[in-house]
Amino acid sequence: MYFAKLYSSVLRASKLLAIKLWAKKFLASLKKAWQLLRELSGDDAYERYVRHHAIHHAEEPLLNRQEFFKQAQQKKWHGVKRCC
Amino acid sequence: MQQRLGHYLIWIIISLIGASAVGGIALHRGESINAIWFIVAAVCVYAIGFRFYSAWIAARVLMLDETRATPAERLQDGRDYIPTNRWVVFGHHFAAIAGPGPLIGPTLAAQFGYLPGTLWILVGSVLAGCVQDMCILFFSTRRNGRSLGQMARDELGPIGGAAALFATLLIMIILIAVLGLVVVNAMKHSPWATSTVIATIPIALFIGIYMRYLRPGRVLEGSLVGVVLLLLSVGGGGWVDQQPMLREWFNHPGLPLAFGVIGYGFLAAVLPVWLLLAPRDYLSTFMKLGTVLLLAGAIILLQPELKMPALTQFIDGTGPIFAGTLFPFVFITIACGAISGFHSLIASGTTPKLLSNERDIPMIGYGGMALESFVAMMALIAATVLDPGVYFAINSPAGIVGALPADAVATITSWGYPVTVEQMNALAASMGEATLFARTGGAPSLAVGMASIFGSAFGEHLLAIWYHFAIMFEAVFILTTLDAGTRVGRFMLQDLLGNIWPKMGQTSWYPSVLLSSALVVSGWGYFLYIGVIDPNGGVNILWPLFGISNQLLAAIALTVATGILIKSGKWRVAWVTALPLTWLTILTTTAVYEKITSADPRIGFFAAADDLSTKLAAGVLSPEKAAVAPQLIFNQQLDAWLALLFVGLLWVIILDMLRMASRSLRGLPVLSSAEAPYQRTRLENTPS
Repeated sequence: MYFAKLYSSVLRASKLLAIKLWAKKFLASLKKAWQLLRELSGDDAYERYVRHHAIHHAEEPLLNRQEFFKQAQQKKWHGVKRCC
Repeated sequence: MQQRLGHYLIWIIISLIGASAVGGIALHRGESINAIWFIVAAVCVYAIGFRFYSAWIAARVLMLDETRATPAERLQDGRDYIPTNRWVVFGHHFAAIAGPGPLIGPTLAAQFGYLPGTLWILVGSVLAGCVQDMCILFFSTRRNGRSLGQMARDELGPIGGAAALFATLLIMIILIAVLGLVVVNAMKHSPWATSTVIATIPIALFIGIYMRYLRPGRVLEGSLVGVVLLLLSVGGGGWVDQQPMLREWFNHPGLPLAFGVIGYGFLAAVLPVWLLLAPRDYLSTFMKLGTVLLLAGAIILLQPELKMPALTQFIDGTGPIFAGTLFPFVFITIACGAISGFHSLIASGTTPKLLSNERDIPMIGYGGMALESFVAMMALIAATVLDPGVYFAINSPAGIVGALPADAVATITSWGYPVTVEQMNALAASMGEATLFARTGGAPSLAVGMASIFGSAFGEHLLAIWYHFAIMFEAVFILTTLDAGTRVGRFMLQDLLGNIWPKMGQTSWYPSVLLSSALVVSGWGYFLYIGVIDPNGGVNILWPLFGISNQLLAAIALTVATGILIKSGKWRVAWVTALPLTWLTILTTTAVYEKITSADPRIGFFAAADDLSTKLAAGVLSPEKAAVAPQLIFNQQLDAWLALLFVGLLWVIILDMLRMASRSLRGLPVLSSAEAPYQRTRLENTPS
């Protein structure tokens, strides 16, 4: 979301400078890194849940963002999660 | 063909560079040696270990099968079992296994010189630690993500299972106590450090509320806000330190701080996770990764010289930081940097449920531990770039070198490591501390080392800020482990008590939560309390005990792995885990034997108890020492029995495994191996 805005504005600026192709490639790899970071940190967990829900459990009610986060956190901390 | 030739050439070059770096470090005799050699040696050794040994184990010992569906695919439920991108799994796995142990152990082990620690960190991780993590990850993956305790029970029998569970609980308690002691020693009489560490608590609470109510689930955004606040709190602590009135509020001796940590631990265990533990964990993960990268960058950029000699005279067992000869105590002390039994708890249970393909196992299991060992290497560098005199002045307890600065520098200088009171005072002033004498536990000396590396890379005038940044980083890190550990201990205890009275087993029943949390906290609180009142600093007793118990858990994990290998007919290659197991068994047994029977009161627990009783009876102790002597005597005896219990447990499990192995080799029936049946993967383009 932050990314989409940034993406379009950088693309617009780069058109003027006629380096569009290069900028597109660069932005694509940046986008990939950003998505990896989001997945690593769990920032996109809700979006992934919505996708999984639509495919596998479409008949069950969908949790909202806050409820989902609450459940996920409770679950995450049930077991050994940190070492020495 | 040409491509293959190029491939061979690259690995021959890497091997040559690695061999000359390791050889250079081992044979170097001179004033100082450049840190870059250690980085080069480490990177080459890990690369070779990963490319050849882990690939060989994967192909010939474990026989990974990339057509086999993983539990994440077969049991996918969108919550626990999720096929995940391998880099994401690697990130989660590494964040979970990386704890404060590899920062503290190498710092303490530097008293033997840089060489023993370096060699064991490299050799131990490549041949033992990485192998353990990888094998346990594999066996758990083939068993639907079962935990180490469950595997021990399934494969060896009820005795093995119970011993693994019991050892885990005990290790957790000793680990938390020693970590608490490290934080207390870092905050002792330091208003700056204390106020910064205290400020991390409301920051974590605020981020918890932020991520739950203000912007639910916005993890990255919340963490960024938190990290900025943490950095501000370091500056804020400096401001507090300047205010004559305010600074006294945060200026405390060890004991009240210890009670503060104990109270905090209890609150953290009973408060809901989202409020304190979860946000703290996000912050500590980001701080940890950021700081480790920064440190690696600074070391490569700056290439500092190590001033510690290769070997010191303390290999004979007379070391001031902890007593005991090079063998076995350097191995016990390094602990997590080379092999950590705790990792087997993460490698079984959590990580296997995320793997999308078995071919990711070497990278995550073997590679994750190699990276952890690299962190240990950097901690060793940060400790050994200090002047040896300064290093010993910071880390030696007052009970050994004398409480007065003049006595301490005289003792340390007489060992051949010159240091002056003026030098120490100037250093303390530049770090914004009142004193750096006898700041045991490893955190302050690591912070001084890191501050001097950062300071010369990014600006000398900021030394005090860097020092307290490093302290804050370590404290955030340690307190997260303390919170998480207390909570896990609580769950384990509730589980145990649930067998006697089922209602106690309900993890959300409040009376049970309060009672079990109080029991766990008083368990580690007791050891922390004793550590603080002990004039010899407590670390010298607690850290070896922690090291022994951690290596013991590793030995249990390796026993399970060896048992499974023999049972599944792979006894010809079972040496892959049996050799590290033999080594760890010799190590822990010798260490416990020395800790029990040594006549030197600084090594032997019983000798120390007798020595103190004799002195107490003769009335030669000062009144304040005499007041705490009975508690110290009791503690030494308790520690002795604990150590005996540890090693007894290990031998029971090993004998149980050998009994099973001999039955299996003679063709007699054994517990059948609980591997889940083969199912072909249907993930076509696995996200790798």
